[in-house]
Amino acid sequence: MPILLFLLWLVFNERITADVIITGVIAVLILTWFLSRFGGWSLKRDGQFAARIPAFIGFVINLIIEMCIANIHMIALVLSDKPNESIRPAIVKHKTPLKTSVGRVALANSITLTPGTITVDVGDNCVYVHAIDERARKSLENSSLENKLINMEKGL
Amino acid sequence: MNMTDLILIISMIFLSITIIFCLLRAALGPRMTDRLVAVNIISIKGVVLILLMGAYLHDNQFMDIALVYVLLSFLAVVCLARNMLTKAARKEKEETDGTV
Amino acid sequence: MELFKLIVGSVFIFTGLFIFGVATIGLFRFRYVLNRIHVAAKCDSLAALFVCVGLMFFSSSPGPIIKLAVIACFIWLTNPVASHLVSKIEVETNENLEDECKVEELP
Repeated sequence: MPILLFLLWLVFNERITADVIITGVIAVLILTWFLSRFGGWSLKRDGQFAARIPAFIGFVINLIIEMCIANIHMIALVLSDKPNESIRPAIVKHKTPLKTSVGRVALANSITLTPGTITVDVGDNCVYVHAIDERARKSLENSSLENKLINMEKGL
Repeated sequence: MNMTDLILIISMIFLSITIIFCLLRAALGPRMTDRLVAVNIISIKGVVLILLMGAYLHDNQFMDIALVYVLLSFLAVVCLARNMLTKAARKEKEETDGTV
Repeated sequence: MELFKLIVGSVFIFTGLFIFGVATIGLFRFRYVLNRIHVAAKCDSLAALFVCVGLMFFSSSPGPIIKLAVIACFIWLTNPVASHLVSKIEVETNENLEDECKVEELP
C-alpha cells in the first residue's frame, strides 16, 4: 500500500526530482501511520492482497469481456422497437457463499458494472439484484466471475 | 487544420449535444432519482469533455482537473443520496409513530 | 505509424461516443427509473473507458497515458457505488414499486 501511494504521487506530479521525492516520502509515511492506527492496515494483510494480484488481473479482463457482451445486448435492447414492452424487470435474491466483506463488495460492484443487473442491497449471505430481463438473470446465475472471487477469497 | 483536431472537435460537439439532452431529462424527470441519474451522467460526460478539450489544446493540466472532477462529482452524488436516504427514513419513522 | 495511431484512436473514440448517444436515447425511451439506471450508468462506464483508451493513442509521452488510466480506474470504482445508491433510494422511497417491476423478495 505505501508503494502504491508513492507511485500515485509520482504519477500526479509527472516528474521525478529531489523535492518531489522527499515530500512524497514524508506524506506516505504519515498516511501509512494513519492507516495502521485507524484503518486496520498491517503488513500481513498487504501481503495477502499482493499474492492475489495475478488472479485479480484475470478477473478484471474477464469482467471487461463480459461487460462488452452485455453492452451489445443492452444497445440492441435500447434501439429495439418497443423497449418498454420487451423487458421484464424484477428484483431477485441471489445467494452467495462469499464470507468476507471485501469479497461481497467486489461481487456487488462487478454485478453493478455489468449492464443489465444492479445490486440493490447486500445482506449477510445474499445480494438483492435488480435484473432487467431473463437474459441478465441467467447470466447472473451461471457467471464465472463469482467462482473466481471464491477462489481468490480462500485463506483471506 | 489537421485530422486529429477535426476528430476532436466533432466529438466535442456531439458530446455537448448529448449533454443538452441529459439536462432536458434532469429538468423533466418526474421523480427525484431521475434527476440524480441525469446529473451522474452529465458529470461523467463532463469529465470526458474536459479530457477531449485537453487533447485538443495540448495541455496536460486538464488531466488533473478531470481527475479532481471525477472524485468531486462522485462525492456530490453520494452526499445527495445520503441526504435523501436519511430524509426518507425520518419520514417513515414519523409515520409509524403517528399511527401508533 | 502516425496514421495507424490516428485511425485506431478515432475508432475507439467514436465507439465511445456512439455508446454515449445510445445511453442518452435510452434515458428517454425507458419508462421507469430503475430501467433508466441500467442503460445510463452502465453504458457510460464502458464509453468513458473507450474514450480514455482512444485518447491514449493520441498522446505521445507516457505521463498523460498513465493519468488517463488512473482516471478510467476512478470512474470504474466510483460509478457502481453511485448507481447502487440511486437504486437503493428508489427502492426505499417508491410507493408503487410493484407496478414497475416484479419483486420476488426484498430486504
